[in-house]
Amino acid sequence: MRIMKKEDVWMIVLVGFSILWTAAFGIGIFG
Amino acid sequence: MGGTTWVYIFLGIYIIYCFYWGLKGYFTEKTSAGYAIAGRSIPFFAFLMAATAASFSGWTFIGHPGLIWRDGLAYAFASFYVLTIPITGTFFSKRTWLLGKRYGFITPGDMYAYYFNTEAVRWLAVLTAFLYSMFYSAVQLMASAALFHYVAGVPVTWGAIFMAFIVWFYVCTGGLKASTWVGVIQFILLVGGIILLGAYVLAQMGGWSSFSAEIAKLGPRQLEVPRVINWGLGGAKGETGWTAVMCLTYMFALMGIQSSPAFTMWTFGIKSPKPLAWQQAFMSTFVVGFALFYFTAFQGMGAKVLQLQGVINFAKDSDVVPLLMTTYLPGFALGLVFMGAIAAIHSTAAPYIGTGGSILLRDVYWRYIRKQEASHSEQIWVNRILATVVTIAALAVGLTSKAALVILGALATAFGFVMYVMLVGVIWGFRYPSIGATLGVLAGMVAVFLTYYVWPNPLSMHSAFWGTFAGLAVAYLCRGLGIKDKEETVQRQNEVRAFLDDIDEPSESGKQWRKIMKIVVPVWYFFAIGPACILGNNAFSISGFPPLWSWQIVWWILGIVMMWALCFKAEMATTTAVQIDRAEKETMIVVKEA
Repeated sequence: MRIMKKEDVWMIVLVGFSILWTAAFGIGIFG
Repeated sequence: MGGTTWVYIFLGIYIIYCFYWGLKGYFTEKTSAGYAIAGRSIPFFAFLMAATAASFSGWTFIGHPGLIWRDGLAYAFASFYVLTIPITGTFFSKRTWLLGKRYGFITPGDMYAYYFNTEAVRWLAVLTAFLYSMFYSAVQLMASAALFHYVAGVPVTWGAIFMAFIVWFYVCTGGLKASTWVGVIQFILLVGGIILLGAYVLAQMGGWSSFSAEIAKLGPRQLEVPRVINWGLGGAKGETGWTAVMCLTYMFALMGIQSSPAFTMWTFGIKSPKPLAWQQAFMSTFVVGFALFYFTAFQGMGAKVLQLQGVINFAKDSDVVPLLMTTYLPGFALGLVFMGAIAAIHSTAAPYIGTGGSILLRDVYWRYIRKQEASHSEQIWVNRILATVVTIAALAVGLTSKAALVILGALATAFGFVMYVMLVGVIWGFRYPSIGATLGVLAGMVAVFLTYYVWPNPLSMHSAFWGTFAGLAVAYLCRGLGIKDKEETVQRQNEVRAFLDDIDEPSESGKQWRKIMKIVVPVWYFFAIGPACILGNNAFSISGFPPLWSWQIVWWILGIVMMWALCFKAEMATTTAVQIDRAEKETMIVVKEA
């Protein structure tokens, strides 16, 4: 049985990406 | 190679692609529905991208950064339309599609007229569609001409005619299918173009640390929401008009995009409702949100910093994007970003011109002039002629009347939101008599006009709010006065309700999620873009973003979660195989096609 559906995985990936992306500004990746 | 050369190279490739799809549609679509709604066969990925591109117009690309430059981060709340535009789809699209399948509706007028059992609502939908198609398209075409003039020096009149010709050609030859497939490439160009220009601005500022330090020096006008509400017309003296309630009600206007007749018609066109949830939760809210909350804001805030540093002087908001493009982009990137802007403009103009022609054909020519007796080929040809008329009218208005254009273009989205009065009735069974729906929509349109033009923005709230508020008030007043519908109408509506309640009943877990979302969605609206957004002025700051910007980013991320929960978990936009199968079989066609 699949634990998570495709859309659940996508949500986690996209929200995770958004958080990391925002954090990247704070740690100086973009200068 | 110079920038202008790259502009023409990219434009050439784009035109070839557009014409290919136009001609392909010309030789394959042979029925009226095939032309007008792509034979209900638009595939998953094509719809996902094209519907997203159509929702976000050239104004997103060109106007939005300009207004951030002018009015600061309070205006940047408008970026939340990446969520509020598709949330209208979440509320209505799946059920609209189910109704289209069962009853064979082709135009939104078909659906409203059948449900409320009166032709008056059909005419109101036609009027809205016409306003939308002509004025909204005119705004788009003129924006493309202005940009073409800026970047390549082409005179505005010729630029407008040339840009209109490209759209006209692929819409008229290929119909909705061509619009959709061109929309796919337009989506990529639109998002790519915004990101590329924003990235160049960020680099120009010497990276985020120095950019962030410069932004921190800006005053409260650029960095704060001025107040929750202003007890008067528009914003308070000496402040921008972007009070917290204006941010909220402006989003209502943009919610009118997916409730406009064009989008309702497009929903009838999709092959399966499967892409809806993905388009709403991820493509719009995440992908376009990612471009707007970071890169568009970089453009707008960057322009402000550059101006204060005396690097570039922007005379007006519409200069911001063209000047940034021509000043900072090297040749290749200039060509690419230019195409992004043109794609954004065309992707909106095309479906409005196409559906405008189709609605005039079906609701006026076929139904009233030809008395429902016209062959497929006659309908397709008249549809083409009417789309041509819409294009020429849009061009004529655009080239002659700039003042009227701005007013009517802005009215269009508010009128689209007034369609909520009918949609909540048809799709969710809000009960008021047919006469209430008709008078409600009419009152809504009048209220929009008055609160936009005569007494602009009472209590600093947008005309879209006043329109739909007045519309629902009148509709319920008619019910309160005890006006009753004919027995035939009551039976018809009961049959539609029984069908929808049965085929679209959520699962047990879906029902639980819906209960939760009835609280979560208003709470999100209240804090993210509603009265409480003023707390963002000094709540917290992350990664060097000023407090209001940080507030927007955090609520955007929460918004992605909310849209996922609403679309998928609460089953507002998902369908099961059983539902689709039933929709295919349980038909009760009430609209003749030819």
